[in-house]
Amino acid sequence: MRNTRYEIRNTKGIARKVRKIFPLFVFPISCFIFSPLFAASVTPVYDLRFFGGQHFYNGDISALSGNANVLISPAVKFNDTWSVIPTYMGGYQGTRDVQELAGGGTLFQDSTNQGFTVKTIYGLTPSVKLKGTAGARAEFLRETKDENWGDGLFDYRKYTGGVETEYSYSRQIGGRFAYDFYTLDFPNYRSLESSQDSTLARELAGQDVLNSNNHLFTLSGWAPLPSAVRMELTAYYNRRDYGEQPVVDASGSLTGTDRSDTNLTAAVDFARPWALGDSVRLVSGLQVGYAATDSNQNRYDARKTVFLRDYYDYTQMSVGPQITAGLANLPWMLTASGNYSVRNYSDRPIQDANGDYLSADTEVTNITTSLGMTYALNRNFKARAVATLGWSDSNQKYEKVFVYNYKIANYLFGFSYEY
Amino acid sequence: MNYSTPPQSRVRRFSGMFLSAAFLISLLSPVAVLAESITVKSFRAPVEVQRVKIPNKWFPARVGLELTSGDTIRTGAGARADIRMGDGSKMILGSSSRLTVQEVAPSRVMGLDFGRVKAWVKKLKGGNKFEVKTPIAAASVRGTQFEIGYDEEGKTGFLDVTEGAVALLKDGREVLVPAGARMEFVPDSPLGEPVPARSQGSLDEREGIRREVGLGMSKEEVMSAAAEEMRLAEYQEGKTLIDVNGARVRLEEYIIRRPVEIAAADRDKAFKLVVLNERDDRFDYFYYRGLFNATLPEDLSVALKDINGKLGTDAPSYYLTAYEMGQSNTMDYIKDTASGGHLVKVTYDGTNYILTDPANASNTRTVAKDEQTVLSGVTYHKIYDPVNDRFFSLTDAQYNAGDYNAAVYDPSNDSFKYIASGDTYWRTRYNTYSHVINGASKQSYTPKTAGLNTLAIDLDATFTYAGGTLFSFTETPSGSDVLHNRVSLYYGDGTKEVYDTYIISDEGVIGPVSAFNNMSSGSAFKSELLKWNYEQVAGATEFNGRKIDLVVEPKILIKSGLIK
Repeated sequence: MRNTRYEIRNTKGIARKVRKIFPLFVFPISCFIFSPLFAASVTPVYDLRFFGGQHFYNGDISALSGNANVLISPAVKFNDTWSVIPTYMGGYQGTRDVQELAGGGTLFQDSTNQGFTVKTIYGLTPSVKLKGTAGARAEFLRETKDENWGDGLFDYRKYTGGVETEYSYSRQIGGRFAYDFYTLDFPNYRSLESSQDSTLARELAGQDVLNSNNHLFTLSGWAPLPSAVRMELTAYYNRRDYGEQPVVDASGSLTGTDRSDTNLTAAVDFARPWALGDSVRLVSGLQVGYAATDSNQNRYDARKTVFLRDYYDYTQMSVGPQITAGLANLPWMLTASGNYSVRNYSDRPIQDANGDYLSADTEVTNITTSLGMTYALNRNFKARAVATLGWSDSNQKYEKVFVYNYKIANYLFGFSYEY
Repeated sequence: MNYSTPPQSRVRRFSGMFLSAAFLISLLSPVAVLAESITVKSFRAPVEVQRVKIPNKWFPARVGLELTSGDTIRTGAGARADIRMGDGSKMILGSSSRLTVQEVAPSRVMGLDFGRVKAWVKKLKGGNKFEVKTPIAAASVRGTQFEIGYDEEGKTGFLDVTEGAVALLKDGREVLVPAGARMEFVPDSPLGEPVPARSQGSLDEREGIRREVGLGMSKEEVMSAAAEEMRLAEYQEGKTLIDVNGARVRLEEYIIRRPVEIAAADRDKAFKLVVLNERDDRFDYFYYRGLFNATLPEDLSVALKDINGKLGTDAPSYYLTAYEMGQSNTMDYIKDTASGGHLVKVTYDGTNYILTDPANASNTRTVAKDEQTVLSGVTYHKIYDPVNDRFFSLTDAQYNAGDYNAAVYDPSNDSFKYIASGDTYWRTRYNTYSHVINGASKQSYTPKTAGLNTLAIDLDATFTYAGGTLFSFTETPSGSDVLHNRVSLYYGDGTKEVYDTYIISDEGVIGPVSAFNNMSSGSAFKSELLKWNYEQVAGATEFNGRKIDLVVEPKILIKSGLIK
C-alpha cells in the first residue's frame, strides 16, 4: 500500500518537476534550433575510468569490487561565437572512497549516478564569454542488502539551471562568476512523523523534509604569481531552502519558519612546476580551504530533552599539499597528496560515551594521505593505481549512532581512457 | 570599283588591330590578374586590415577588398574572415588571429603572427608553392587542405593536415606531414614525428571542452556535497541506522507539546514523547503522554528531572498527575493509563519508611524496610522498595547475599544514590490505573478507601484482573547465561500476555549475564544498563499471533520513569 502511494506521488512529482525544469532547457534548445547547424563541427571528448579495489575499516576488509565512471561530451561548435557542450556522466561505485566512508560508513553497499548537462557558450567579446547551463542528475544508493536500485532511502534527483560569465584578460589571467539554481529531491524519503495522525505528530510536521531549493553563486579568478606559481581562487556561496522542514524551537515544537542554510566554501590553489635537471619534472600544489555553514535550524534531542540551538552550524579549515612527478621519456607519473581538515561545530556540545552532553563543542579532525601512480600505455590509455589512508579523530565520544573516531584505508587499481 | 587603301586607312586598320589586340588582352589579362589576386569574400566582424602603404593604421574590412603583398588582416574574438584566391584556393582565418600577405604570386606566402588559419589549396603550377609561416615554423604545400595555428602566449603551434601533404619547416628541418597527421611545435625543440590527427576537433578545442566540462564537474561536486551532508546529518542524529543483519531501521523521536487529545485547560501542563520505528516490513511506535501538576516550562528537562522521584526535604515543583503509555504495531496496541497522581513523602529512619500524603497529613502509614517471617524453619524477608513501591520476598540466604537498598536516580550526574537513614524522598503515586490490550481491560486498580490518596499501592488499592486472577511466570528461553527474559501473564479468562525482553548490544547481539555480574540490583545495574539497548517483543491472545517489536534505548525508559 505504501509503495503504491509513493508511486502515485512520484508520478505527480515528475510532472511537476518537468514543468519546473522545462524553462531551464529552453535556452540551450533554442540555441540548437536557431544556430546555423550546417556549419557545426562536433568534437567528442571521452573520459572512461574503470577501477577495482577494496577498503579497510577498523580492521574489517570489504569484498573486492569495482568502480566505473564514464564521461561523454560531444561538443558542438556552430561557429567561433556559438558552441554547445552536452555532457553525459555516469558512474557506478562498488568500492568506496575514503571520503565516502565518513561516519564509519560500512553503511553504503554501492551506488550509481547518471547525469546530463547542456552548456551553451556565447562569445560576447574577445574576452567575455556568456554561458548557460541546464542539467539533471540522479544518484541511487543501495545501503542495505535487500534494497533494490531506486528504492534507496537517500536516492536523490537534482535539476540545475544556471548562467555564467567568464572574463579572460589574457590566457593566464581571468575570472568567472556564475549563478545556478538547483533542486534536490529525495523521492523515497518521507519523515515518519508526517505519516502519523494528529495525536502522534507535531503540528506543522513536514513530509519531504530533506528536499531543498538551492541558489549557488560561484566566483573564481586565476592569475600567475612570481616564481612561476599559478594561483586560482574559487568561492561558492550556497543558499539552501528547505520548503518542508520547519524550524524546531526550544520547547521541541515546530515553528512556522522553514529551515534555511547558507554555506560558504572557498579554496585557493597554488601550483608550481619544477624542473630537476633534464629528466625529472615536478609539479607541486597546495590547496588551502575554508568552509562555513550557518543554519537557522536547531535540534531537539527528545531522548535527553535537550535543546541544541544552531546544531548544524560549523566552520572548517583545510590544507592539502600535492606533488606530481614524472620522468622525461618514461610513461610513469607519480602523485602524492594529503589533506588535513578541522571542522568545528560551534554550537554542538560533545557527549560522553553514554550520550550525556558536556560543555565543549564538537570538533572533528580528518587526515587523508594518498599515493597514486599512472602509467601511460599509449596516448589515450593509462593504467592507474591509488591507495588512500584516512584518520578521523574527534572529541565526540557518543558513537551509538555515528562513528567519529576511526581509521580507514582503501586501494583502487584500473585504467582510464581519455580522448 | 577598285579602291586603293589610303595611308590613313592603314593607320586606322593598324590602329583597329591594336585596339582589337588590346581588347583581347584586356579580356584575357583580368584572368591572369584575378588568378593572382587575394580578396576578402566574406567576414564576421570585427575584422580589420592594415595596408602596407599606410602602416600603423587599421581599416575595417569590406567584402571584395583585395589584399596585396604586405597587407595584414586581423580578426577579433568570435570573428572570422573568408579569404579567396583567384585559382579557387581559400583560407578561413579564425578568431583572434593575424595574418600578413607576404607574397601574392607566383607563390603565395602568408605570415601567421598568431591565431589559426585553415587553407584549401588548389594544385599550383611549376615550382610555385603555398606557404604559411608562423614565427617558429612554416608549412609549405602544392595543393592540399590543412590547418595551422600558433599561440602567441604559449609559443606553441600545431599543423593538422586533411588532404595531400604539407612540408613543415622549422629550424632548418623539414618534416612532411601527410594527410590525417598532426604536428605540434614549440620554440626550442626540434620537430618531432607527426602523430595521427584527431579526426574531429583540434587539441585546443578539446582542451577547451575539457576545461568547460571540468568547471561543470566542480560545481556538481559542490551540489552533490549538499546531498551528502544531509544524509550524514540523518545518521549523526540517529534517525536511520543499519542493523547487524543489514536491514535498515528508521527511528524518529520527538516531543509533542500541548497534545490535542488533552482538554484545552490542561494542555499547557502536558507533553508526549513519541518513538517511531520503521523497518522494511513493519512499523511500530511507542508513546508516553504525561500530564503535570503545573504549566510546563519551555525547558522540559526541568519538569522531567524529578519524574522518577526526588531526594531532599523540598518537594519537587513538577510531578505527574496522569499518564498514558501506549505501544502499537499499527494494528494492535497495549495501553497503560494512570490518573489521580499525587506526591507521597517518604522519610527513612534506618528501619522504617514513613509514607505521608503532603495534602493530608493525617493520611500516613509506616512500612518496615525488612519484615522477617519464619516458615517451616526458613527465614523469609519481605523487603519494601519505596522507589518502585513494591514488596518482594527473599530467603535469608538471598537476603544475606545481596544488596537491597533502594536507589534513587540522580539526574544531575546520571547515576543512582541509595536512600540513607534520615533521608526524605518524594515520589508520585496514582489512585487509578488500567492496563488494556486491544480494548480489553486486563488489569486495573482503584483506591481501597474513597477520598484518600494511595500511599503504597499494594496496601491502599484494590486490583482487578481479567477473569479475576493473574498468574505470572518468568523464564529464560535463550539460556540462563544471556539477557533474554520471557514473562508470561495468564489471566483467569484464559487469555495471556507474553513479553520477551532482550538486553542487546548496538550490534543486535543479546548481552551476556556476565556483563551484569555483581550488579543484580541497585545503581550499578542501571548504570550498566545505560550502555545497552532494550528490545521488547510483546504478544497477547488478542494479537492473533502478531507482535509489537520495539527497540529503544533504556535511557528513554529510565528517564521517563518507565524502568524503575
